Amino acid sequence: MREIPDHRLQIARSGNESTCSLGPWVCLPGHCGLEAGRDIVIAIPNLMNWITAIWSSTAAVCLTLAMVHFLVWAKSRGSWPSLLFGISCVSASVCAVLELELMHAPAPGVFGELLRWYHVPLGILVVSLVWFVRLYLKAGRVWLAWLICGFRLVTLVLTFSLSPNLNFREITGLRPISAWGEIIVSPIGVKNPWTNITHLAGVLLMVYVVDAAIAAWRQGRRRQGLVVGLTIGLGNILGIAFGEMMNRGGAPIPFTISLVFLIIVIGMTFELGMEVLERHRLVLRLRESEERMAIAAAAANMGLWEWDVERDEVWANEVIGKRLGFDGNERPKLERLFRSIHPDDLEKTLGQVHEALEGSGEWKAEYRSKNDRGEYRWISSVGRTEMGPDGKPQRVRGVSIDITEQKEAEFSLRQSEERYRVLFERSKNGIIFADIDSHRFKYVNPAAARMLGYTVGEMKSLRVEDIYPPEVLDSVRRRFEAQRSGLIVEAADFPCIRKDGSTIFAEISTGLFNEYGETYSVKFFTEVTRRKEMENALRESEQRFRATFEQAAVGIAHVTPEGRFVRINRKFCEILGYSEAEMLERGVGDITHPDDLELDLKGLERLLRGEIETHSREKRCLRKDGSIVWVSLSVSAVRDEAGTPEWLVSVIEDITVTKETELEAQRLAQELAHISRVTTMGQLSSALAHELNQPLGAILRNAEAAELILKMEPPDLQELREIVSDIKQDDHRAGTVIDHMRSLLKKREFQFERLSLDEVVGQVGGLLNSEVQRRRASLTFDIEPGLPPVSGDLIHLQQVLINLVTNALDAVSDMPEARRRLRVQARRIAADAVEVSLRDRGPGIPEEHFKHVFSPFVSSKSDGMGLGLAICNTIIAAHGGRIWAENNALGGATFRFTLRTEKEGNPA
Amino acid sequence: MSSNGSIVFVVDDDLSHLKSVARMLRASGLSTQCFESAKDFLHQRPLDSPGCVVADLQMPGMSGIELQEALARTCNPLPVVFLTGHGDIPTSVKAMRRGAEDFLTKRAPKEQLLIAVRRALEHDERDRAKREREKELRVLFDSLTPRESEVLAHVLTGELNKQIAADLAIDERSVKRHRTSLMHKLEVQSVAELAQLAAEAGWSRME
Repeated sequence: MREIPDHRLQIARSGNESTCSLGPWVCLPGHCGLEAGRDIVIAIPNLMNWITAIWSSTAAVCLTLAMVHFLVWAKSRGSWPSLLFGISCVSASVCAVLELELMHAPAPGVFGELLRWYHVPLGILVVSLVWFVRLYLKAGRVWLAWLICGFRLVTLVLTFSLSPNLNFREITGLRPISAWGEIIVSPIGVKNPWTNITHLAGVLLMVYVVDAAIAAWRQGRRRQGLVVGLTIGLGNILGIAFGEMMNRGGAPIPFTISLVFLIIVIGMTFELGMEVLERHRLVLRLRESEERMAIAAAAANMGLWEWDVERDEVWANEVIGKRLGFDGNERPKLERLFRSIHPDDLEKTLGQVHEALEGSGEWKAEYRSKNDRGEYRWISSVGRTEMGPDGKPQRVRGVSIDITEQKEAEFSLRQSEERYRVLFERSKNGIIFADIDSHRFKYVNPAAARMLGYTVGEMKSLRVEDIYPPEVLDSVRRRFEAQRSGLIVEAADFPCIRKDGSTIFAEISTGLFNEYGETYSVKFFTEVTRRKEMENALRESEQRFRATFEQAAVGIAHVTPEGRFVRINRKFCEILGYSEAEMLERGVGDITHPDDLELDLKGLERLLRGEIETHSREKRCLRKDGSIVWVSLSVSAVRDEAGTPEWLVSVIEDITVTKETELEAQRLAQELAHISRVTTMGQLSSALAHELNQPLGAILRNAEAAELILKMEPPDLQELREIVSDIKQDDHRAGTVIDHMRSLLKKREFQFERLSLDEVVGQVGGLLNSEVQRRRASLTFDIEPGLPPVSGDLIHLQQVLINLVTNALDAVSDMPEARRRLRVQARRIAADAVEVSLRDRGPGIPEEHFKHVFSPFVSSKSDGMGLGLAICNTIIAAHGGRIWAENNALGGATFRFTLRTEKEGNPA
Repeated sequence: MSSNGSIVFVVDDDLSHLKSVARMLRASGLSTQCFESAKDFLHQRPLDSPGCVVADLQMPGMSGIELQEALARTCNPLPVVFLTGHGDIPTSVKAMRRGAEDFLTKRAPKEQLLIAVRRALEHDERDRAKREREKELRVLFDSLTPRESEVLAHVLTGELNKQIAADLAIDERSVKRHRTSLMHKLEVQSVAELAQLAAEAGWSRME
């Protein structure tokens, strides 16, 4: 045998000679001991031949592509088409390997078994392609897809249940064929009719893919539709054709289904490449746009932000970062951003966030936010919520702009506008803007309209000439021209015509004003008509006042705070008997009675200090001739704006006659009180006699005893000493009774002094004791301990009590003894008042008498004058107190009167 | 006068006056006892003591008149001399009518007071003796049997024995026997004497 370099030798034994002519490396008969015509020695080149190379590369390419797609899928989960395509690539790769094996199968049995297994990767390939098309093109009929899958499954079941496989009923032999310089085998056998099922599946796949491609084309994804439709369609057709050829057993061609898949791979690679290219372009464009955006944002000081709702992370561009003090890589929580918001705006802003998250999706807010320097800035923020596939908000994106300057400018503009609008609208002065050329009124304020009797609207249709009387129009026009040359024109007491034709006078000043290229003359009107009238009115009022002052029926004087007279009216002089000139030389001190001066000065001091509004009292004044005149005085102060008294107005009225009447009445009352006391004493005479006789009788008995003792031998000196002491004591007793009686019988004026109620009541008790006993009654006293002293006249107060007690004794005289109990009570009822009451258990006061209990000459007693209680009333009133009567709930009457307590440190 | 143990009880609410009156009476040789109120006197006086009372007419609580009334109801009704600061007529009349011994103003001369007191003491002594005698006679009369009392009553009306016997439906001899017995018991000799004794004893037929 001859060695052929770079070849290995293979012997193919066959009876068919024709096979010898197949290759160039035919061994010559006899050359190497082989049987000529029978054995064929095939020299197989040791270099990898084409078939092996192509199929291996196909497998490798498919695997590589699978790797690429798996990577894509792994990087971006959810990219299911990549996964599916990866799977189909792997399947194609397996197919390629199996095909290589099939082509080198040593025996028909091996071939049959391999072909059976071949259907597994093929099925997977078809199924994955079907779903890839569905997902990639987002088109294709699902039911068709499932039908194809079903067919593939049936194919698998059949191929494993039929023998040797789905394609052949039997494989009779393998035919070596030479292809691309390599001897491969091709099966020889009987076709299995079941194999048509695979063709049916192929046709279905064809329909499915074409339908999907058309749908994608229509949806606008033309390229994808075209590429996928063409490649898969073409591959499919070739696959079916090849399968059929092989099945018929006559096709001396290599097993090329995986090569067919290569078409698909090429198409998809093209497609992927295009996509990558597109993506890259997109990325570039995006980056560009982002950069543009960032530059724009930075230039406009625009804050961009994005809030990832789920992770609660905020991305913000450096505008915001700088403002809030965090760098670009930080992803703060939303709460951090909210912390910077002004507390007053926080609630509102939070509300808007919630609203944006839940409802509208749109977000728009204006709030103050604190920057890293601690200043609040006004921020306007606009955003939009993006919903995730689950319908929940996923992120909010937005823009925020610092609008502080805008806000401030807006605010100050509004302020300024408001300021001038108020000035214009509320000014008391009329303001009119008149076009300097047309003389038409442009702007008129309400004061001007009011001044001229028009409405503002009416004024705007007028011209300058309409508001002036004809005789001054020339002057007005001249003034306009003068103004145009920049002069400021003023006019005093200028006449103007009102709508109703009447004339008013105004002070007018003018200025110039430019607006949108137009020039206006601005006129300021101050009406002086009213001022003129007021001046007149004031003058009249002054005259009226002077007349009133001079002719008043009361004396009026203006006095300095120091007490000097500065202005006095005639009556004042008359009352005091001085001339006006003499009065002006004198002061308050000169005309006031010395006894009244101190109180007067005190009152004036209080008035000047502002403690009282007016100082009013009755006082005595000294006339020029030295006589006394009683006046009612009322002084009030006229103060400056700061409240300092400037001068005093003193009004006096001569009340001498009134005062004398009053004094006479008081004198009469005292007289009456005296008479009443004398009468009372008369009534009490027997009781008082008893009161006197008691000590006098004792003195007498003691004296008699002493006489007798002195006659004794020896006289009992001890007894005598006691007698003398007792006599002195009884004498004192009698003297006291007499003193009380005398003071009660004396005629006297009221003398107020500091009195202890114990004393007043005690003495009355002493005086009335006998009378009470004589009447078989009882009188008890209940004086609250610690009562303050009262201010009063002892005798008169005792008179009141004696009157009340004797009245009460009369009232109970017809009662059984048990009810003849009288009780005098004294208690404090206020800080400055004490109440004294007398309670009896008599019949009480009949209803009809109540009104007149204290009226004079009304008496329920047959022998009474009806003066007792009236006098009590007068006395208590003179004490500044009140007396009244009431019936007790359980019978009897109570008389009560109040007295003022003596103030601490106030001399009686 | 105090030899028989008589005491002058002075009652006055006015202590000074009380003391002075008592003092004067003592200096005049009388025994005195002082009380500041009528009630004190009624409760604390020696029950059977002879004497008289000098009382203030007007006193708180029980007055002089009430004291007199209360005293009159006791078995030792001492005579009362009233003193008053200022005597008014109605009160004096009332007091005298009820048997006041005397009614003096407090400032009456001592002689008047002493005379009044002595007279009162005398009255007391006399009344006391009279009350003593009455008591004895009462014992005497009480010793009579009921029948004797009946007979006595008829005798005192001046009836004869015969008439008495008819009235009492007993025989004349029995009347005579009763009559002798009661005359003997009462220690009298004649009807005239009997009549006087009966009058003295205040005995009446009603008894």
